[in-house]
Amino acid sequence: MTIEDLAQKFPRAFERYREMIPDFEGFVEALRMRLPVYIRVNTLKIGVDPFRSLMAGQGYDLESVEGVEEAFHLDGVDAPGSTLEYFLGYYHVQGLTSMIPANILDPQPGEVVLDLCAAPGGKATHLAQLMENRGLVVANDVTIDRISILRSHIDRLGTTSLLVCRYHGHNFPTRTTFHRVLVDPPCSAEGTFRVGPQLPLTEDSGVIRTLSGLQRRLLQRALEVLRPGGTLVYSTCTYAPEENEAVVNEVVVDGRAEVLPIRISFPHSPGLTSWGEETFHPDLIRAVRIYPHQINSWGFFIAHLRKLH
Amino acid sequence: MLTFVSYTDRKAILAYFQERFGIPEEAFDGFRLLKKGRTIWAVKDGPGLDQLLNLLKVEAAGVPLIRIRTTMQKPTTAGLRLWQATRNVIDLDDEALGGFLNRGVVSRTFPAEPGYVVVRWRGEVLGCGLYSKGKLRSQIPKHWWLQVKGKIDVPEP
Repeated sequence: MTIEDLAQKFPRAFERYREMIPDFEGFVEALRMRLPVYIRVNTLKIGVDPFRSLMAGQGYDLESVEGVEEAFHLDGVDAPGSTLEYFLGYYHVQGLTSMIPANILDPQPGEVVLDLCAAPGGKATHLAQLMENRGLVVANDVTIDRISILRSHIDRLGTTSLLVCRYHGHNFPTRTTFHRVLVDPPCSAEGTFRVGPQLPLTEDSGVIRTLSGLQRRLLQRALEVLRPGGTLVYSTCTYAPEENEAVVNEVVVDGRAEVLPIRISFPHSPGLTSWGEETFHPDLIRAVRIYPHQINSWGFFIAHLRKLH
Repeated sequence: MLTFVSYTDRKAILAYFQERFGIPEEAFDGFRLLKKGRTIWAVKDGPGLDQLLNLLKVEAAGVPLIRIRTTMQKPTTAGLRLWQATRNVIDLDDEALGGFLNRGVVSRTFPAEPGYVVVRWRGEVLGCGLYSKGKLRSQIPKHWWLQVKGKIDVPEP
């Protein structure tokens, strides 16, 4: 299928969200636009201001992002992963919205934090950075190829407080518990869609069912290894409510977790309290949905939870 | 499986860094050294580290510091970037930077002893090199190096 064929077909892939997404036409239009490059300064290596000066001195076109101090929009660089500054570990290439979950989780130095589905490592290394390499981050993933990418990022960025494990996330051992957990599970990745190279996985409804089952098991296990009172961020880069509100709803309704409010400085939409014939807990409105016509980056869903018992 | 290195092995490893690169033993305070196969890892110590290593099957901890070879020890680029060396450091000028990153070798005499060296440019550690008989060869992991090979313009001085 050519890009032109996809361009013709892709609005239909999202048609079922016409009523759910505000300004649906604006949303479809945003999907046609080129994805901008965002980078995260590796503050373990260099401060934000010195980084800005260094990059400006090298002639890079950088733009700050209000609300995420470590984020910059990098313009005019085709291969941001092939610069000397990237090689030296000054920055990591990461979608702007991908930087939000770690910031919401807000890990503190000295804590023990789990990233249950960590590879390729953008969020896990971000967590260690926010903790100033003090404390421990367990970065877990099961795919060996993706783990090797994660390890290469750890070495390049100098995140010395990370431990790497390779368990199936839903079978992660319950022998130990964590102050905070990030669950960014495999998803249908609709939010990463810009025209090409393929249609979203949700074109196949069986995929949503399979993913949603896995996401439920991952969230359940994440809550099992979270200390009582500990906090958890559940995030996906997809719009499908079956993979988002429906998954979180289960643990809220049965009283295992409460939904915490989220404060972000970007335009966004609230979580859904109903979808089709399904009704969700009213507190799901505290979750956030981010669409590409609100922030010019990947689409995202984020829920912030506290374990109740 | 990762295991903590013994007190004696830790002393020997740190003595190597002290002797070869002038990195004082105290620079590693706050770090624990672990071994898996032929790799020694350096991980930041923290509350709960022992427990996590006992209870979980940990594949990697922190960054690789050194690889143990039959006849010699090979420091890693990741490790050399974290600790400040004062001995056997080769500072590249802008002309040599291109050769080092794009071709992986620089033919020139440098004031360093033969063996593994720290390669810097404008005070920034690029990584590990192997210096012998007027040739400096990059020891930077291939997957890092290939990303930048041929794509880096030598910056204006």
